[in-house]
Amino acid sequence: MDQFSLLLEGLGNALTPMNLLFVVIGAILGTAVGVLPGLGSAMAVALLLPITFSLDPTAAFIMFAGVYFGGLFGDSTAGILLNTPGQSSAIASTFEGYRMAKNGRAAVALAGAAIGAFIGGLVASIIVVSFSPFLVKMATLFGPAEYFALAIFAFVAISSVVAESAVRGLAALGIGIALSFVGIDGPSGTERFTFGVSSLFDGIDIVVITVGLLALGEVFHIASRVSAESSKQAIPQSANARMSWKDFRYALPAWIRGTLFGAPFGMIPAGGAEVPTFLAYGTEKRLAKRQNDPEFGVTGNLRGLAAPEAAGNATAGTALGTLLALGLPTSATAAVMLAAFQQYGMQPGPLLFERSGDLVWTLLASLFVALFVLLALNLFLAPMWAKLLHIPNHYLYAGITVIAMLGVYAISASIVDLLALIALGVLGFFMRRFEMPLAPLLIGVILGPLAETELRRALAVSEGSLGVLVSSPMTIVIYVFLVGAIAVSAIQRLRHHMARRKEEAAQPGELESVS
Amino acid sequence: MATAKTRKPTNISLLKGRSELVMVAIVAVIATILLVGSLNMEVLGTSVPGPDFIPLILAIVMYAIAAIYLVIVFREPEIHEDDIIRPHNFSPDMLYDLAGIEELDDTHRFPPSEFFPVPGSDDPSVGGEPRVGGPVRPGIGAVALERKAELDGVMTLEEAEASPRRIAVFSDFRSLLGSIAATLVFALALPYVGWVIGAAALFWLITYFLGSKSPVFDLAIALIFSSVIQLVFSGLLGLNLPAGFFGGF
Repeated sequence: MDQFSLLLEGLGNALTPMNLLFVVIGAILGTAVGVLPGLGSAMAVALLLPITFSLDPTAAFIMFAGVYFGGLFGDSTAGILLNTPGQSSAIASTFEGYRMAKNGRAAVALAGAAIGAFIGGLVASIIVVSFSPFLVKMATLFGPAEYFALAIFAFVAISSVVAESAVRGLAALGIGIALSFVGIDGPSGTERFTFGVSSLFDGIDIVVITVGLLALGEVFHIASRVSAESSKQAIPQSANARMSWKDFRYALPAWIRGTLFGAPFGMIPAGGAEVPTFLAYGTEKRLAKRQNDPEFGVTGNLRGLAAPEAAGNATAGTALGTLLALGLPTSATAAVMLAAFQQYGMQPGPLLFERSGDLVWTLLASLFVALFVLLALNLFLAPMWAKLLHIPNHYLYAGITVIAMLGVYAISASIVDLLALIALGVLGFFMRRFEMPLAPLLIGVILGPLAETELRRALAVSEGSLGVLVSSPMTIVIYVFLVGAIAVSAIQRLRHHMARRKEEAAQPGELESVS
Repeated sequence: MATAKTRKPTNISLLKGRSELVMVAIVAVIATILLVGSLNMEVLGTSVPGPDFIPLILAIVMYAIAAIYLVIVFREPEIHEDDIIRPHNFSPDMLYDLAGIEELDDTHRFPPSEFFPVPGSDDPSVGGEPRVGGPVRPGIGAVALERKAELDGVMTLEEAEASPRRIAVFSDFRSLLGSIAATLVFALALPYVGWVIGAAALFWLITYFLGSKSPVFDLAIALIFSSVIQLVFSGLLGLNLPAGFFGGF
């Protein structure tokens, strides 16, 4: 099969000393970022983007791949040791992971998380490599109407199906799309929303938006919580990561199940790792109940940690594949990766494999290398990561602020951009304060232009007839799924609402009887 | 007997617990900018639909969202910390330690909804501060507290957490505004003072506002940090960092 020879070529490139160095740097940075709660791989890639401009694109992307996966390896470390997941992808792992740590099994938990992440990522990478020609071929079936439908699906899924508050999710999405309108319109050359400010002609740089929202927003958020947080700086127990052969065999089915949940989700625009990790967790929980397992939910069950970890990495792997082959980001982190490609002048999608085939296969090969490096880093150097959690917040966030400013200034040397950065940081603070989800905004900024362009293209071809949007079987399928997802979400919210009403009605009765 | 949940909390002002109106206002303002901008756009070319089409649609959608959002913020104001009764004068942690009660089951710590906001959010039930307190357990004192809660129009911790309304998290304005001001000053002063001084000042100010107890030590760290960046990025990687009034340093 053609792919494997291409992969081997890529591997040859990936294993050069220079590229290996970048894999390791990326892996270290990624894990560090994942370990530290509040940061995330999306933010790390955004911060690194402007700084790595002078590097050769291959090296830069290899590093990004390391950061991308690294975040998923490190995010469970703080979750296990401190009950604080490093990223949202680790929330599901934290439930059982922390319980295990509290019962003296932190080492097994850390090892289980690292190996699970490795297996999930490995299988996903194999899938991506094997199916890439198929994905690429499928992508050519996607015309403007299909891409538009996918974008709409992503918008709706990420902002309202997955989000806790649909209104806030949609508001965030709207803000994101609005931000993407600023600049000179591609197809027509019209100035839009630039207010005559010349530095806005190219639009608000995606790096400014991501760094402002994710990095500065987090800094301002931490600043506002200083008095609350300072007394609660918990000290993590230091732990090695190791597990016995027996534990390994016990966790294996969970790793496999987790991977099976995670892999398909990378291809569905559903906002990232939350859904598959929770699904994997829920499944293990139900299985444990059926087997009357005494550990689950009490002292911590390894499978409850293993499955979500594998799921998270599997999702990330296939999401990257979907990004490369289709040009469709299915999570906020993938969205930032897409921005990274665009900054380098590359457009992921079917043509990427033709035009920049070398880069793509080197990147894919580096994924495998990165996974092995990350496994080693997280298994053998686990105590080091635990130590990282000792860095006082004020140094960490001061450093992030400076790096954020550095990055934005480096791309444009413009004070206007720095001011925009700060404004977006303030917006990011407000969004965190009022629990408005950030992912829809990022997806809106990244996919907004794509959605608009494809819509206008589709309508231009059909000369204004809206029917073209639902004319092909694929668009119909996508919209049907969309309606289904909305229906499921609406029913779910209704059920919770009813349950809460019932609880409220029951309360007075209980109080009466207790006295 | 009406519970605290069914009775509307008697707010002193209509705005109490509704600081989220700021966010609603932001959405409305953006919608307005979109509306005004798309109507006044000088459209070049004759493509149909033009560049003003989608922004206009988005403006209308955003107004609708803002309206619904407004209703939600009014109907579910944040629960003010003062409206929650906690066991007076005793830390729940201490009580639980004394009683040897372990951490609670996960139905308490994690709310019923399956999906969480993205990282960085302040949802108190997601990691963040590891919580060791707990709901007021049914016991004589607890029932008395609950009765008192109903009568005063406030609620117990348990009710507060069960309600869909968010528990207000208080923002430390001094640190927040200080940090924002620090970044603004940096942005405006950078061309004049140069990178090394500017970034060091920014670093120091942020550590100060984030509660650092060692200002003098921080100054050293700040200078080292900004200098290292100057060396690595300007020297090695060739990024252009302003030199300020020090000229060709």
